[in-house]
Amino acid sequence: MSVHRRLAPFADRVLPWAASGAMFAALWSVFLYVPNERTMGPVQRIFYFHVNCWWAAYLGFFVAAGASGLYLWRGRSEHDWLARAAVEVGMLFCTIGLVTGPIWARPIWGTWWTWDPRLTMAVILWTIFSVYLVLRSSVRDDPEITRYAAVLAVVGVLDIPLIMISVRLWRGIHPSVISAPASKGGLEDPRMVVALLVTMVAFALLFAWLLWLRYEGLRLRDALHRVEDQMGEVAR
Amino acid sequence: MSAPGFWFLFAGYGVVWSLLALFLMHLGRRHRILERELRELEARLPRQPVP
Repeated sequence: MSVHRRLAPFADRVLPWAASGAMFAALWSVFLYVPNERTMGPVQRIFYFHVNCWWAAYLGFFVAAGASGLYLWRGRSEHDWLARAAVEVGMLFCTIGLVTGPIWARPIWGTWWTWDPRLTMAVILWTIFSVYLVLRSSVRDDPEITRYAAVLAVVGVLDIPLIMISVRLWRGIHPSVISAPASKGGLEDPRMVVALLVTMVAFALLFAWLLWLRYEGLRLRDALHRVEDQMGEVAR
Repeated sequence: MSAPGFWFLFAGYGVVWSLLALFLMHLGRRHRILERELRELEARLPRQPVP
C-alpha cells in the first residue's frame, strides 16, 4: 500500500476537523487566555499568529527544497507535486507574515517598514519563491522549467538560516522574542508560552491540511492530462 | 483594550483570515476547473453499450 493511500483516509476525514478545532483553541488562547503584554498592550497578540505564519512558511520551503532535491535525483512526479504544493502553501504563510509584521510594527516602532536585515532577508525569501511560482505558472509542466524551479527551491531555502541568525549577526531592530529571556524582551508570562505552543500546533495542522488539498489537486490534474494525452494518441 | 491597539490587532487578524479565505477560494476555483475538465473528458469518451 502506497504512502498516499495510507494517508488519504486520515487527511480527508480527520485533518480538516483537527485543524479547525486546533484553530479555535488557538483563537481562544490568544484572545481570552493570555494576559496583555505590559509595554506593547493588545497589539502584541498579533505575535502569536505572526511568528507561527513564519514557521509554517519555513516548513513549506524546507519541504519544497527536500522534495525538489528528490525530484532532481530521482525524477518522480510525486516529488514535484509535493514541492509545488509546499511552495504555494509556504508562500501563503510567508505573505501573511510579511503583512502582519508591519501592522505590529506601526504602533510599536512608529513606522510600517524599515530595511532591517531580518526584514530585508524575509523580502528576498518571498521574492525567490515568487519567482518559483511564476516559473510554474504554465498550464502544462515543461520538464526543463520544472528542473530550474527545483534548483531554485533548493538554493532559495538557504536564505532561511540567514533570516534566523540575522538578528544576532547584523544587530537589527527586529525583536528576538523566542530565544531571549523574559528580562530582555522574551515572553514574560508562562501563559504566553502556552498560547504560542497551542497556536503552533494549529498552524502545523492547517499547513498539513492545505498542503494535502493542493497536492491532491496537482495529482488529479496530472492524471487527467495523462488520460487526455493517451486519448489524443489513440485518436491519431 | 486601548482603541489604537485594538484597531491594529483587528487589522492584523483581518489580514490573516482574508488571505486564508482568498487561498481557499483559489483552491476551490482550481477544483472547479478540474471538475469541468473531467466532465469534458467524460463527454469525449465513447459510450459503452449497457449490458
